[in-house]
Amino acid sequence: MSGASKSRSTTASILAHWRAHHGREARDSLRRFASTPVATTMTLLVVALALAVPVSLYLLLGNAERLTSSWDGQAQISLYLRSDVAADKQAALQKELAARADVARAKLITPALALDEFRELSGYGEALNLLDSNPLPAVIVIQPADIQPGPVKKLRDTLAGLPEVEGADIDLAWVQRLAAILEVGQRFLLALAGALAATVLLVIGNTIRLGFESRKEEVQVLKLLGATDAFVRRPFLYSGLWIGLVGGLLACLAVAAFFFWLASPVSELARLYSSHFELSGLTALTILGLLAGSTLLGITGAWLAVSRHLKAMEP
Amino acid sequence: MIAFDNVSKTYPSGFEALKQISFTLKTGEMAFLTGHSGAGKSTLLKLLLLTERASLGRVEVNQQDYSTLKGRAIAHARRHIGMVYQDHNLLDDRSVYDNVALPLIINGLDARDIPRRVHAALDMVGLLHRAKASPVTLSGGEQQRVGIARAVVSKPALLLADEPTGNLDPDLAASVMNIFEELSSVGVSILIATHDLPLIARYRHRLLTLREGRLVGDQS
Repeated sequence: MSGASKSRSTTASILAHWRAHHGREARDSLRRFASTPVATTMTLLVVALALAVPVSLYLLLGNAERLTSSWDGQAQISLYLRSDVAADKQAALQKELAARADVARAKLITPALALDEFRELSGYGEALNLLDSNPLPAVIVIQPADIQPGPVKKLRDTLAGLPEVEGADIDLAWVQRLAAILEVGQRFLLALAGALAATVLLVIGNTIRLGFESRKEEVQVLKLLGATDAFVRRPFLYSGLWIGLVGGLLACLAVAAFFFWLASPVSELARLYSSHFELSGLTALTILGLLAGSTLLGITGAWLAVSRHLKAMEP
Repeated sequence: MIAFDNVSKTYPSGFEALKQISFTLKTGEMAFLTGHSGAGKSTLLKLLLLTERASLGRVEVNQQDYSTLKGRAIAHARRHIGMVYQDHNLLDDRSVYDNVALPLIINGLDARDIPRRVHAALDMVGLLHRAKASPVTLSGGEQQRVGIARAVVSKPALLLADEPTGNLDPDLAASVMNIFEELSSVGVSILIATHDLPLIARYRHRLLTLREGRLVGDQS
């Protein structure tokens, strides 16, 4: 008796068969989309918009972070040195601190320099001339390498313990507020991205479900001929893959257009603030991530939609 | 090849389609399954194709106990069975050739072997010249024969047929029966559900008769 599944199956022939089968399924699913252009276009637009919104926000937040990082001069520590530390010791300490890994820059303000600055800014020039000695301490202004509140505070505590240092101050409140604002932005973006990813999943799942309904008879015939669930599922997974991939590409175009549209008013605004800030848009990495994510969402949506129906067909 | 041991099937609605059926069909044996509509013929075929499960008793095909099969194993079990449907069950969106090639593609046969097997199956039912046609352009009899070609193309060990000659004139019915007898002579077990009494009388194979879900006759 000849068995149904008996065939000369070498690894190479199985691979060749598998490749041929996948190639056919991929082409077939594309042809099916071409036969329903309106429905397909609408699905693609919904997917593209749902992807473009969080990606745009993500890029804007990235720009905001870049902008605020140029304000890190605000997160500085002022070290007030003891009055008995000699001038050459002050300069040596400044050099020593500037060499530390957790310090970006260290600048020494000698008492004389500080007095000049104070005289200029305060308008008490005349009165200051009456002083017979300079009451101001030498100050070393430290710019921390890491501007997060935790590390800044830790650095302050360390430096305050140095024998030459009388006291150390930071404007911690400002640093904390800045970090908190960015944190809120990130949480908001995360929630929005999650909600819109679920939307993409549902929209693709629904499209695939409709396709499945219209091909139910075919699926039944295939199952009766001995097709596994994986075999039946495959064309639908390819449909999901194409929707995800093309939707992702359209989203890239939308984001690129949005940033192009935004770029010139932003640089005009920056010019008015005499800043060289320029909006940075999509990078190759972001595009790759977006396409990989949207494709994965498409395949997952299709999988969920089809698996539920296949389960119902079990005896 | 087939062993039914005290098999009953009750549908969720409460309808008892099969009651304590026991019979065996040996390898290479050919039998008719007859009875009025509603007697349980379709249900019996459904149990064999694993689209329904027995409520009680044991169904065994090819020494496999059907009650334990799940998922992938169901798909693989179905590949050993060729089924000829009364309503053909052909896919209208692809050609006759592609319909007949489906079981081979599902079985994962080497792509180079597929054309030869499909042509042989179509030649056997006399429809090689319609390979490129769409099933909807064929007559009822021709569609039935495409269905038979699809059922036998993967050389299954068991062939089931549900009213295979229902839409055929006597000459075509005879040619279909000749195909079945040929397959039987090379070891294929065949079970034909039919109420075509002249056909049954002419071919004198084993006859299983169902009435209201019970097996009331088993004549050789």
